[in-house]
Amino acid sequence: MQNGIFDLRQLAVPALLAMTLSACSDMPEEKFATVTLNGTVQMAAGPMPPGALHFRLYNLESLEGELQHALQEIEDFDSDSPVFSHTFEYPLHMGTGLAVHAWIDTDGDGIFCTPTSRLDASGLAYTETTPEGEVDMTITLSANCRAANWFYPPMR
Amino acid sequence: MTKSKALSVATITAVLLAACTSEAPENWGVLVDDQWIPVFDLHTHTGEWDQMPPGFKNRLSERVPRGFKWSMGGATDWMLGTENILSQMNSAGIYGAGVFALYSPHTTGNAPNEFVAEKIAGHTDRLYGFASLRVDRWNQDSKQQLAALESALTDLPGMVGIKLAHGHQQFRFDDERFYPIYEIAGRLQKPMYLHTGTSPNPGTRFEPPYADPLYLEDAIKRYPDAIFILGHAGYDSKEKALNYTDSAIYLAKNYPNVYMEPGALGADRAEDVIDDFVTRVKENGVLNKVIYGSDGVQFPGYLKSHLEAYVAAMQRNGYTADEMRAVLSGNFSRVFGIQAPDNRAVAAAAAGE
Repeated sequence: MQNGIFDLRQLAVPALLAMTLSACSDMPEEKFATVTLNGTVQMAAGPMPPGALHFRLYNLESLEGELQHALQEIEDFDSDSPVFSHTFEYPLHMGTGLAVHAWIDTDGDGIFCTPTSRLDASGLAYTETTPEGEVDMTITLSANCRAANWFYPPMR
Repeated sequence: MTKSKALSVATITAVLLAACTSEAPENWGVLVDDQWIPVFDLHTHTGEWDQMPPGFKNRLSERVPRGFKWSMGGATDWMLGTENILSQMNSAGIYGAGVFALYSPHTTGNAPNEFVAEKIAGHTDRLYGFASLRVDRWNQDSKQQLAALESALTDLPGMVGIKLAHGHQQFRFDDERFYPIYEIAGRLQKPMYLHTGTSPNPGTRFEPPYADPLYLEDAIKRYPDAIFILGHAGYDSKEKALNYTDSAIYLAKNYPNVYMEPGALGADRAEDVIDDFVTRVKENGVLNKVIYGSDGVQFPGYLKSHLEAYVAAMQRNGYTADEMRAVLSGNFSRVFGIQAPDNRAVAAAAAGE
């Protein structure tokens, strides 16, 4: 058995080296667009409580076929103000549209709700249009402790 | 695929097959104190390259030199194939293994229920399917997804449980919209494997609501008939730390319907925490709640190396043979009602007695 492996490996090495010359990949080519998001966060009801705001950006829809799915994470950022501007590289190769999820750390623990502390309000804004240049969005915090997929796709 | 690439893939496959194919061992299990202890591995994966998203393909491709990345498709499909899973099990002396379906298009990709059923077909005495479901459009298709899960569990041969990975599938442990999944698990008496802790795979959620099993306590209380097996026992693989393990132990200790699985804790990546882990579960008196699993097959020889590392850790930390038996097979058999064959009976049958 050991000799057999050795012989096969001797054959494999030159074959692998030959293949290297014609190597290609089935990975999509990465393409990005610089986007500046100008945003405002508001409460669905009542005044905005104090607390740091945490944001996550997504491709609204991503990939194709069986792998197509909603809400592919792009990146996170924070803001101390409900009026903010954030510039990021939008991954065109990963999908279309833009979603912005936000939550406010009302209890100041740095965690988006725990099993016993359910105070952090959250919301999502989205556009099916793939963003270019500057984009304006308003995010309304309407429910506590809800992840992005609680808001999108919406109920039919 | 070009002719030269096909030749090369075939050559690689032949090499791997020659190097790794293993027949069933003379004795199943691991030898401890002159006793053969049967082993079940709760946690293995199948799948195929074409059903993996780009980020995960990139991660897998990091394991090979730059010029060889094109070979990953064929190599991955072979690695995750039935013959390799069985071969690795044989090599390790593992009699039976869970094989998981996946619907994680954000992270690790899809291995649909029907695909898993095909992979285990003809081997359901040793390969046990775990069905899953998509959750990424839950507001719109939850009824269809739940019906498909129930159908897979009742209609597809060899499906013994449910696989969920909240972090990979991006749904919070405390999101009650998904509780109907647990209702199905309880009603059909199909134990659930739930990935807990974090993962190094790109796109996986690693915040506490997706990683800390304590967020499952409400569901565990509400569905006492459903069995929750906390995968990876809260191991924070991203940070290589036992950050959520105490939560898993707390739940296993306090709820009869909660178990833990130490998948990936026998991997090289976890070598600094494995002794702490096996000690914690022993000292907390929850060895009757630990069901061995590896998170294989990953790479050639993984099932064996993971098992050897885990057994060695148990031996280093004073486990008795009975305690090891509970972890490696007894708890699995009790939960799933599946027994490993007795080595003496196998030998007698082979001898024609």
